[in-house]
Amino acid sequence: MLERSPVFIISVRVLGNHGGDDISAELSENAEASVASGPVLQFKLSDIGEGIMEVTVKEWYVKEGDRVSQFDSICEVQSDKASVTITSRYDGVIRKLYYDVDAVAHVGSPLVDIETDKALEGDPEEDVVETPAISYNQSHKKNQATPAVRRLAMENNIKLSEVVGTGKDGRILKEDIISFLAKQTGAILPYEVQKIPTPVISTAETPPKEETPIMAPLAIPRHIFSGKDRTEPLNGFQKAMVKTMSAALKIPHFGYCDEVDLTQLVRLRSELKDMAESRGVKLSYMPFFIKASHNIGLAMDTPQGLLVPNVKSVQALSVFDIAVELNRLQTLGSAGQLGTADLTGGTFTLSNIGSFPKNPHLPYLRRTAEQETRTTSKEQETLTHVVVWNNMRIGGTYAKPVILPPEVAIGALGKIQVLPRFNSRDEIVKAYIMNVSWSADHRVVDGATMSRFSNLWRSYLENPAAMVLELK
Amino acid sequence: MILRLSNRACVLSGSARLKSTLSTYFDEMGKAGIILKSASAGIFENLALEDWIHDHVDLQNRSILLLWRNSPVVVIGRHQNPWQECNLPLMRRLGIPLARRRSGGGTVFHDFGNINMTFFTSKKKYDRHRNLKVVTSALKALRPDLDVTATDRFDILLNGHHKISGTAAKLGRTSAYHHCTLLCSVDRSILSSVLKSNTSEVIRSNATLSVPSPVKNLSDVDPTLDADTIMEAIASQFNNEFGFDSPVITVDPAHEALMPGIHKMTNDIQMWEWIYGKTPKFSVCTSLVVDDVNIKLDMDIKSGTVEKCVVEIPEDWLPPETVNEFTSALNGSKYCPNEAAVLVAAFMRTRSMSADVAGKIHRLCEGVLSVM
Repeated sequence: MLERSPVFIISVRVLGNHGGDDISAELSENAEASVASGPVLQFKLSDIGEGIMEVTVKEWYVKEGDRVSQFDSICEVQSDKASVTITSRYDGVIRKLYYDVDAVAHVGSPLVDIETDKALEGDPEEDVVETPAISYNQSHKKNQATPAVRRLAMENNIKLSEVVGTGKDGRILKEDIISFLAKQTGAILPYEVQKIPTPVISTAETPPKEETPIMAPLAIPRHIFSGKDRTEPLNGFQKAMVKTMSAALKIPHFGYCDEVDLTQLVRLRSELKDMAESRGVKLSYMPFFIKASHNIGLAMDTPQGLLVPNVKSVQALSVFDIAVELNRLQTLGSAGQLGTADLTGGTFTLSNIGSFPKNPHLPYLRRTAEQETRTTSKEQETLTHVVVWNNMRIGGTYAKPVILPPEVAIGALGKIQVLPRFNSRDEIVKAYIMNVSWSADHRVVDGATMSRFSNLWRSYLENPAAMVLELK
Repeated sequence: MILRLSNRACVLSGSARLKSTLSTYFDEMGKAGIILKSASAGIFENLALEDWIHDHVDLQNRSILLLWRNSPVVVIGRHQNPWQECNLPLMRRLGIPLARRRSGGGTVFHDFGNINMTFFTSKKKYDRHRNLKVVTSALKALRPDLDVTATDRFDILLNGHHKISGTAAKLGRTSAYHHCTLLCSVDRSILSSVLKSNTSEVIRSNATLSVPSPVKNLSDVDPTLDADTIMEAIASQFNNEFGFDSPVITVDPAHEALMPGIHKMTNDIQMWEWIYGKTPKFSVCTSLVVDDVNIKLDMDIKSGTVEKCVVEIPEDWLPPETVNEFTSALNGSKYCPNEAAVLVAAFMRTRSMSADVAGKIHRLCEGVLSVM
């Protein structure tokens, strides 16, 4: 017997808040919901405790027309520094929300209307606090289980009353159904510890050895492919990338590749590295590559994606200055603090790809507060040296990088490899070789110019002493 | 599975049996009261530990006290607006992260000088005043002359005036937790600078506002009081007050086998969509001065995303079409300076503009970013 007569609602009603177009969508979405033909019950806001009579509704987790199961969260309310999650007592469909966000709700007043699935047993009181299992009248024993568990039991022809529940208040959990099944079929399930038979002999003065756990053979987890593609909205960074790349591909690219012998530079850098470090600056090869050019952008992988901040007026900076600036940009980049001035205005871009094999996932690790302080410079190096042209690979290799508008050229630097080469005396020597692939805007840059630039750039790097002599 | 360090402390080590979780371990223990201490100083791991206990441990006939401390972090309440509550640009510069907890209440700053205590009970046994009594009695047991009292707003005041503890709570279906802070030796200069927002005046919102109070450290009145001593005293007093006899058990919140699902919980509360995206809708309305020009900025932000961005700029300073493209670059993006900078940079790359216009857009963007 219901204390209150249900509010009349037929499942197919004109939804005043929605436009006419939405009705058919609403109905088909809720095709399942429209089957709910039980009474519509007012679900009242229960006593929160501590004599509180009013709360503020802060967030709704459901909207009208949504299907809810017993124990699903309905809304979040706040009172006096306490945030309270209100959960549903019934399975059914939400038919009405009584409050807007930020409205004040009164304890004891209706919060939502729920159209239940079928007639309920017992008294639909509004309190959500569970009574302990022992107080249930045995003859009216209602086995507690979520709809999913009930379905599982039904599919396996199991009577809930025969299953021992190990959840809170004797609630029957999925695990309980599974172990019930196991007992029935004698199957060995993963993660079940085999019981050691009770020891016959016990000469125990010493305490019994701790049971060595026997691990049942682990079931190989089967990945179930649902075969469904997932559509995800583009985040802001991806949108920016799409915009930039769409503009980039309107530029007629031509490519030019070359090989640079960095043997002398490797030697020079190893000599200068410690000096720079004593001044707190990490000296990679990049400052040299950059000094050999002009206003230059540097493709950098960050936790959010590819960013290209640039080092300005390189001609006025020493190699050390450039290294300082690079360190600064790397720090800002990984902390997500680069401004628009850092991100635009480059003349061309250098992209350093996979020069050292490192964990490509390092930039994507979330760091806890304590780990933040443990970031080593090694990790920062990885951040600059991994290029993410994930979606924009052309031809399967990195030999044709894409120009970033409005720049006119880009260089992709490959790995530094140790290879045998002939020197001027026709002897085979060990050389440090790096490949560079340039792309240039053919409307603005012709082949000869590109070639001249690349040769000059290469000559500075192959003979670093010339850089010291000539570059301001 | 358990290393007994002393009569009063033990550590839960690797779960020898795959089937055993923290929950079943408590059941096996059979105690009505349990004291835990987190082995982690990571805010997200510790908040996830709270969630896990709240969701998975049967608290109908059992109460748990969890003691934990974090490295520097600002923690806002469930329904708060971080832009109103703290100085985000300063926090970014200092490398101090932001976290949003699931309980209500106001904004706090944690570092190692702060002790957090979480009291887990059934909803029936939820009693914040009694929990705070545990804290004040423990402190008085250590130092009988200490003037510490709990107020009816669930704060604890030192000498009747300085706040040394704040409270927040989370109520679920059948259980609840009440947690509170305790200022032992927190860096107060950082605390006051990060908890002062740089943009609160320009924000209109219905989010829960913190009530600022003058604070003090316990170590200010008694330098011999340190966090470890205080935690031990609180653990003892918890046992006394409720008639329990639990040792202090150290738990590692990174231990997925012991607490299945906790890794996902830890990840979930680090997502931008939780920390910033859960901010109740608000609007920003301000005047910027760029190049001596007055610019009116009006933005509506819902779920942390810019839903409307209107910029009023004198036509002779920047052409309206450029301004429109600027605002549409920001529309639909996260209210986040990094994302905004990248989007505006992409807009600038793909549109030819004179150096003069580019410079103006840089400075305009800087102004807009300064309120994010």
